[in-house]
Amino acid sequence: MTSIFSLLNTSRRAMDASQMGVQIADHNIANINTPGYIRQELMLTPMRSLVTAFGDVGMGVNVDSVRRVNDEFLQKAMFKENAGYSEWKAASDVLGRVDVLTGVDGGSSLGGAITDFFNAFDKLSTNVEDNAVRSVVVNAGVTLADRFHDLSTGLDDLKTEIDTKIARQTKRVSGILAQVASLNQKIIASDANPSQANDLKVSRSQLLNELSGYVNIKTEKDQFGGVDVYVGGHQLVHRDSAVVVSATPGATVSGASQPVEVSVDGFVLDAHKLGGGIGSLVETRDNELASVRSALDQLAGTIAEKVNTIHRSGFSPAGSGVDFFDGTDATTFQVNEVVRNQPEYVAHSYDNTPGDNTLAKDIAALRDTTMDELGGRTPVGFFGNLVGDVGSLAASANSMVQNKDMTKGQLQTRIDSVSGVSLDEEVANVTRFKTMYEASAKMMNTVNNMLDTLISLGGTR
Amino acid sequence: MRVAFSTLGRLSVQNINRALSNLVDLREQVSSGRKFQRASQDPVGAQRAILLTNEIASIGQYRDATESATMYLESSQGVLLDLGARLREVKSVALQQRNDTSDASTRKTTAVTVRSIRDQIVSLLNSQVNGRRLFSGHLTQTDPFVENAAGKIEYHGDDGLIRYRVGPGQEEITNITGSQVAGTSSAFLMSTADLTPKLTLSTSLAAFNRGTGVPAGKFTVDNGAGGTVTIDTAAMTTVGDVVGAINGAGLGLVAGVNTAGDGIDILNLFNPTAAVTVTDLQNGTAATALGIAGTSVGMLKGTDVSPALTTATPLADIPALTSVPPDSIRVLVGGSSITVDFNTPPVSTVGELINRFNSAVPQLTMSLTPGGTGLRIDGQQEFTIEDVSPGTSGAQIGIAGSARQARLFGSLESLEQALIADDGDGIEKSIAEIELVIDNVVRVQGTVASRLERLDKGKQVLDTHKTSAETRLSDVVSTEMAETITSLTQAQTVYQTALGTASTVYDLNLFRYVYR
Repeated sequence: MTSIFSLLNTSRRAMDASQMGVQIADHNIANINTPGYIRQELMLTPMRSLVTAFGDVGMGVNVDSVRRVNDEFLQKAMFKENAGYSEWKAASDVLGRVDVLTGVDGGSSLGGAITDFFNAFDKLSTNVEDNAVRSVVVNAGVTLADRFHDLSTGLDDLKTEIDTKIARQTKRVSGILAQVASLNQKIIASDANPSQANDLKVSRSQLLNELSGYVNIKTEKDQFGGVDVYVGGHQLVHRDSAVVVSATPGATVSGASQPVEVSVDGFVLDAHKLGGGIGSLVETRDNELASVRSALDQLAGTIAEKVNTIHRSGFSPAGSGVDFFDGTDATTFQVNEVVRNQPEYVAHSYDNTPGDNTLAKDIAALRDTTMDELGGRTPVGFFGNLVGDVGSLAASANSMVQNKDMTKGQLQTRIDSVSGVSLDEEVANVTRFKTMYEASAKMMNTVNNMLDTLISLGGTR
Repeated sequence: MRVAFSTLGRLSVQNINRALSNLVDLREQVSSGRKFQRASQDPVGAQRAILLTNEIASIGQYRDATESATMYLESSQGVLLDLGARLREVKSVALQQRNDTSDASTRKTTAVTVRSIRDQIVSLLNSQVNGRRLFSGHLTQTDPFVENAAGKIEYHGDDGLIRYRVGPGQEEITNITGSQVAGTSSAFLMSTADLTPKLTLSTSLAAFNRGTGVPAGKFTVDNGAGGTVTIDTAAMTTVGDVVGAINGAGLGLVAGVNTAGDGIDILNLFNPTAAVTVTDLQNGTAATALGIAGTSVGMLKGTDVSPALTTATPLADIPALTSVPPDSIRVLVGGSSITVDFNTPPVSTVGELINRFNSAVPQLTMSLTPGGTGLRIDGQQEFTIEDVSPGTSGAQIGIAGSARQARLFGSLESLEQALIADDGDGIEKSIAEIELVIDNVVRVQGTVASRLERLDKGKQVLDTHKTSAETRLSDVVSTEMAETITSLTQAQTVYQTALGTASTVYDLNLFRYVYR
């Protein structure tokens, strides 16, 4: 036979449990907008029964645990998707910038400047006696040089920006790794206090999720509750210790500082091993951006060389043997100082007569000349091709970003369906536990009445 | 499936963003009038736009060059018309002085008039437009005609032609040099004899029809008795190849060069009463060019195929040359007399004959006429060619004779001298020379007119090209308003719906119903 006071205890435990249930629902609702939050669930079990001569008598409810409702496989898949998304996002951002730089508006873009330059020589061929037209030619050359400089400066700035971004993100990666190691330590230590560990684990998940955007990570959970982190075969976090990941400017080669590299404990990591946003930044910088840059240099160098070969072989009113352009690439490309300051040095003839326009025509004809150095294209054709290539790359990166965003979204929906907070569900839980609390309180009241009855009888046992 | 609150939010925001981004895109297209702003929005279109923009700018430049060329040529034409009028005036005053009624004093007076007209002509030909002398060749800053100390007019220009780029791969000459007008430049002789060679089995198919040649193509030969062969000229180079193919077909046909040596005949040897029929296939013209397309009973007689003279033509194949090899001719040029001996050692082909002449007389150039009808000789001065007796080569080749120049100022000066000297014969000679000069000026006017006409036609072609390129560019880059505005309206509806749905979804939850 149980004591009447034990009935009071049963009701008290039920009221405690329901209070905890409301508390958890409240916690869940409070974190409804917390990114990466994993909902918690109150796990109730029946209290151990009291064995009597008449059979087992139930003793009420017992709070077993507060559980994080989580699917670790989905979480790992998310790390991978996140890295993939960040890879394309970084590439798309960079290529989008190049896309804007190269521009398509014929009037102001490099393509227009190339056409205008050669057409200016054609104009000179119809007005060889007019020095004002020579100024037009020089101005067209200066504009062409300006367009080359705009582009090359734009590409240089973009490269510097990418390097800064790599350095900043690498620093953040190092910070996250240290935090993950420190959380590992706390989680392992607090294993005795599961509810505290739950929120620490949420913080760790959030950090790992952010980390997976920067680099392509692999995680492994150990038996003590710690998570080890790997990138490109290198272990970055082991239980409570993390390595230092650093971004360093590469060695200085022939006066120019080389691009920023990412190294782990002194080992330089390949971009494709890094993956994620940082890997993509390194790859886009070293491949796509570098190839646009070299194509642009090739174009500037070829135009300068072809024009100069003709120009220096002929005569202007002021003299002969002068180059029209200086420089061999997009950065150094400019109109020769002599010609720039004295347009009468712009050559027009091969036979040193004032009316011979054959040299001016030959330079103008370069506009439509296909050149081996430009892959068998004309200068404008080569530039058009470059713009088209950049456009295609940017377009396919954009569409990959959209695809990845969509698959990432679908995966997030699946994760949310397991771990996310549903307002309706929490309201139902609150109602459930509230009702349970009210019923338990009523039970306690009933037991109290029973006690009153007993006391009024004036006897005890 | 459980639907988390964050999922609702994320999906709503995603849909709103997608709808808004589409809306912004379309709005940009409508407001800018362009389908794309960046290459990534249409990489192929962007590339085409750059090329088309280049094309349009280039056409604009060709158009400018055409206008400038037209301006210079029209100015030159104006001067040439004036020049013609002045020369006719000289001729008419000279004609008045040729008869015996005129005396020494009127002739002297007229000499003054001629001198005055000469000076007017000098100033006409020294005209400049935009600081450019029209008739100085490349020496555009130098007056082309200047009187020297001896009172004679000298040409100070050169023979430089000024060509403008007036179209893709097209140039037009925009000037007439002083020497072309005043006649200090070339004199030439064209052979007067018919030097058309005989057709032989080794005659190249390329020489057919005055050098137009025989195009590659297929034709059938039918013997009228059930036998047909298809012949392809693609791999054939000589008459012998064609004849061999017909004869070797086993149809009982015998093809060969006719006795006149100007065409190919096909004899139906085995079936003399049946028709030989030759038909071009697949719209080809090979048989027609060979002169054998047609049908005829017994024998198909080919038409005259007029083979062109080439440097490889053996002299023995030229019927006009009765003495093979030719003997010697004498060339009088620049005060020297040069004998060209074609017989030591004997020349056997046209090419050898040309080379022998050119190496013996460096002042002159012998070459084939266009179309290979004969030979011509060009020089920068007057020259005469005559036979060395008893030879007749010059006459046979048709190059014996004198090449005269139209000397504008020389003729005026001769006339003036003849008038002062009261020399009737001299006046007569000068009038003849002035007529030559007028003919030359008229010819040059014709040249200028035909250039102007070409430029005018070119202008129309450029305008058509420009319109076409602009249309293509517009197709590539310009927004199709009706279509885009319709899409824009749809996009606005989608956006509004996305917003409405989101607010409804946020509004609906159990909380509202349980704890109101």
